[in-house]
Amino acid sequence: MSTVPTIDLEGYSLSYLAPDGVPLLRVLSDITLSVKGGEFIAIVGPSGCGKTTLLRAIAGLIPSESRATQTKGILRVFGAPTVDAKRSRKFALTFQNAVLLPWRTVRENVSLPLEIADEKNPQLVDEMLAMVGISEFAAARPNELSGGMQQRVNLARALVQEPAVLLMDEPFGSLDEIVRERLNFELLRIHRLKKPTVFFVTHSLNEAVLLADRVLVFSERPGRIREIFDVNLPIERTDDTLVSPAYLDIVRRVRAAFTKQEGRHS
Amino acid sequence: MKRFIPATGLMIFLLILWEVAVRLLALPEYLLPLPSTILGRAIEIHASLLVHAGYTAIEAGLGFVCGALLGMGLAGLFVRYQMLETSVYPYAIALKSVPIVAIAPLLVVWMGNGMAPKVVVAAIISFFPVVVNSVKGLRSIDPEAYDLFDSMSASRRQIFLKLRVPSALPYVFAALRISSTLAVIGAIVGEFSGADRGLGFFITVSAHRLETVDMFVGILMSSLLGIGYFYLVSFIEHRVVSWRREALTEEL
Ligand SMILES: Nc1ncnc2c1ncn2[C@@H]1O[C@H](COP(=O)(O)OP(=O)(O)OP(=O)(O)O)[C@@H](O)[C@H]1O
Ligand SMILES: [Mg+2]
Repeated sequence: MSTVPTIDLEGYSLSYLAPDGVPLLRVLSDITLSVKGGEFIAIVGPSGCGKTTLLRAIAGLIPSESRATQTKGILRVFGAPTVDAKRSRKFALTFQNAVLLPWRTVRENVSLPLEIADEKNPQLVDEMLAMVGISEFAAARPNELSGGMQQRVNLARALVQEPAVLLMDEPFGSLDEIVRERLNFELLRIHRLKKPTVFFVTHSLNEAVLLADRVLVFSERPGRIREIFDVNLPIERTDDTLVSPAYLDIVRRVRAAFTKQEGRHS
Repeated sequence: MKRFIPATGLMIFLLILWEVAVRLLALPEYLLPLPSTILGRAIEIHASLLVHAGYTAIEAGLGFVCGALLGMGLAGLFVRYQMLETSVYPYAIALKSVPIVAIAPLLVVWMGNGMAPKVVVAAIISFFPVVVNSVKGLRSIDPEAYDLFDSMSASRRQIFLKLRVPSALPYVFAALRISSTLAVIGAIVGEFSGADRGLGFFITVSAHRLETVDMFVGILMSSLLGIGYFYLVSFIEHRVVSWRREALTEEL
């Protein structure tokens, strides 16, 4: 069990196809990566480099024999095709645009995954609502919420699934600094507690380094892994981490790798 | 309530204009009667008028419900079974271009003078907007919401009930509102082709007798019936898709 990586990519490439089957857009190129169970991976990269596409592929949302995409290489989750992990409900996603169902209240949105899995756990739902600080809006509809609040519901809906693999697409992008920091530490606490494998896409380099065990810097489209940084900070991360020299040093190096490619562009 | 004021004001203004114009031009009553005369006549014969209107209302209501249920059910099957859609849907649409006025007499021949043919005409005419919009609505799901359900490994049935159906409701109600008034037209057209009761019958008889005032009374009642059904559906719509408040007020 421990020898099988949770997520394993070998020379994985993905192109979107035109309706006539002609490769139209190469989005991911030659990705090789092996992720251990419980690892926290952060992904940074320029807009449009294929971060969302990679998360969707890992989650098994891009069928391998689809008419819209063409893939090469290997992508396995728990040593099996992604659809198997999807079927046994190993994944939970948070979406870049929240994707809440407008006809459901906040609470009903958060309990949707439990409903789908034929489970009931109102306590857990309450707990998650409280954790993301949205309890008092439990009965509200999504269109009554601000963008940041919608993102918190999005997060609660993912966490309520207690997933083995948590795929997060810029979850805190629209939150203010304070809430963002609080949720960062909250996420870390949950990660240390439940040990899910996390893929965390973000545009904030600081956030990436604070949270992750490894930070992947992606190149521009077609996205390939440009550099991988091991974040050798203490497991226990606090406010103090944010001002520690080791932390700042890694942020500086990640930034250098990131701007190097941006510079190439301009 | 406030939004009704302009429309009501305009109506009162037009009625006064009508009344004054007819009096000034001294038009004979058999061409264009006075609004006050029409209203007076409606009150005078209200007992029998209500019986006719009630009859038509039942035909239209039954037809509407049948047509709408059939339309929604068929749309569900079309979306579930692609084969069915590609084979049947084109005919359903082709049938739509057959003028309902032409079918009504045939239905009367087949089913007699009673309610049945009127209900069928109302159902046929209600059916098309509902089936078209329901198919469109069931297909209109947000691809990311589909991803959400897919990532949770939701069954086809769950996706249908918890995603497709709610996504379709605004489309379905838009069609139901149209169909509710069409159903009244359908019932009256059915009555034109042979009936012994109902507003269509009342109007036909008045026309034969050249009783223009009565014809106007019949037209007035038919319109009120259509408007009544329209607002009934809108009312239900407000309840059912209350989460879509902005979009609703914009259309009404
Ligand atoms: N279904 C699709 N069909 C065709 N092209 C697509 C599809 N989805 C994404 N793309 C294209 O693939 C590229 C990568 O998209 P993706 O959403 O993965 O980028 P991203 O890294 O998440 O960007 P951002 O940081 O802006 O969210 C983009 O150029 C996009 O236009
Ligand atoms: Mg993205």
